[in-house]
Amino acid sequence: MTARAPRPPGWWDRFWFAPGSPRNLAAARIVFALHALWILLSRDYAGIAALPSSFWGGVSAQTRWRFLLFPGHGPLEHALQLATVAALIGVALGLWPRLTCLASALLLYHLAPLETLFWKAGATERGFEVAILALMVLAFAPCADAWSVRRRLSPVPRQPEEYGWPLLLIQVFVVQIYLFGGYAKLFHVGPEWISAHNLRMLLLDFNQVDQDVVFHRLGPWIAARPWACLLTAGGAIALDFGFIAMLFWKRSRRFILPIALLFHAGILLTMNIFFLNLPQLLVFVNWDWLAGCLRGRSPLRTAVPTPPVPRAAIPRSCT
Amino acid sequence: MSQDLAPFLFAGFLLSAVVLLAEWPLSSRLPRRLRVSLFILYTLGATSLAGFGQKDMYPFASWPLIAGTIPPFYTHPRLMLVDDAGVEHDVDYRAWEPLGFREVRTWFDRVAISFPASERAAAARQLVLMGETARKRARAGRSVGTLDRVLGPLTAPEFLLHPKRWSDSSAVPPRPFVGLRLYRETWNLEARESGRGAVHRLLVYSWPETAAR
Repeated sequence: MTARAPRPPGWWDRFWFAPGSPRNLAAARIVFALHALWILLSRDYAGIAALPSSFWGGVSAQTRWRFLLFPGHGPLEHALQLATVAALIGVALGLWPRLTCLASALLLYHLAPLETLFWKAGATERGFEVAILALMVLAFAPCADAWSVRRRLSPVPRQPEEYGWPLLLIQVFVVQIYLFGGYAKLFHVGPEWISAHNLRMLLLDFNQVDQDVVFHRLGPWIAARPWACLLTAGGAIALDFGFIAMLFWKRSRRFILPIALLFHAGILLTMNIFFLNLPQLLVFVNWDWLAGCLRGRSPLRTAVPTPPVPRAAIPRSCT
Repeated sequence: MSQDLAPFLFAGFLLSAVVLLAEWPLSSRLPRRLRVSLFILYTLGATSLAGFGQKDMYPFASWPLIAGTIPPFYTHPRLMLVDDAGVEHDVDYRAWEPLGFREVRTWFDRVAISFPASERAAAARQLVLMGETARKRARAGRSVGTLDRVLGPLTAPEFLLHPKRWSDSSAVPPRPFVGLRLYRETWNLEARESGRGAVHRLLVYSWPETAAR
């Protein structure tokens, strides 16, 4: 008698192991590499690490060991920041993707906390949370089978699902920003978050600290109108919880993505918050379709070979 | 508690990726789909623990974006630099780069303020030095901060935007900075919006002691 490995349920297989596109996975690799490079080259982690020890007084030993960050190692952190830049360039170009994705994920995990280290242990809302997780997933996915300077196809034909689940998991990470963002509002405040009064107070708060105000017209304008406050609060919660639809109903991306862009433009103009993860929404774009449009022909005739799709794994609706 | 768990959660994520997704002789005995499913399950569990538990476990984030209520009276910390004539100046947000403006403000108000006196003074002295270096750069018509050295105008902004007070060199304080003050400002949001509210300012810390006049 032989022991049989347990099988995941059918819906699980249909959701996670639907065939994917090499080009869409490669696009995710490039998006995350360029986005991380953009933030990395806009910060100076080595400079922060080199600050006098008086700045480190509030950093616990546990936090120092957790991220392997210690005072007085400016030159070392400078070298590591350069190494991260090199690794991310490698990721963008598709060079040794397993090595470069893994190295950049671990190096970002080490460097990024420096931005907030002196007063809190995790660098949340600073742009790298999703990148670290996504790069780790990409390290173990065939993400350089397309749009790579050093394309080396596997000697054994890959299952098309190998291009699908990694991208889907990365999309889940991005969706969670909104899902957990909406959940957090209800968790910490409750349904009254969706009230004209609450949004008015938030808008007044974000527009009365002169050190944090660049755009100062739209926020007070909305704050002065209860109907606009209620509409904005309701719209924000609806988007937060509606975002997850993009995972199950791909056609919804056609209207949810533009709405999300408008939503973030609104947050920028009313609360002066620049959402650094915004470019990561590009992982929801169907690059196969876009590349086909740009070349003026059917995506089915593009140069990247699409692996054969087994009969049992016909893709769900693709847009 | 969540900060105690966070490194183990990340280590588990890394370990499960290496063990389950790479092709090892031992793990390859399990079907690929099952191994991938186990990795996905672990990842979803870790992210959900942070998200639904609302415990920040970097890089597993709880994303508490604008998830709060604002009390009628709001208190905000403000760091000011003092020149050698004793005049206070608001600081351009780029003056303390490579540190972020919001990070410096929050750190000094919440953490550094409770340091032993000598350590707190050393931190304040360093902030004055950094501010003075930035002031000199700005007066000379050069970039106020240092973070735009690579990408220039394409540099990623901070999460919270701040006005560029010293972009015009004529707006830069002419005299050298020699001191730092931390205030806590409190006001009623509604009253201030209607133009009736006053801002109550409390001096929390001053360096050096003689800078507080």
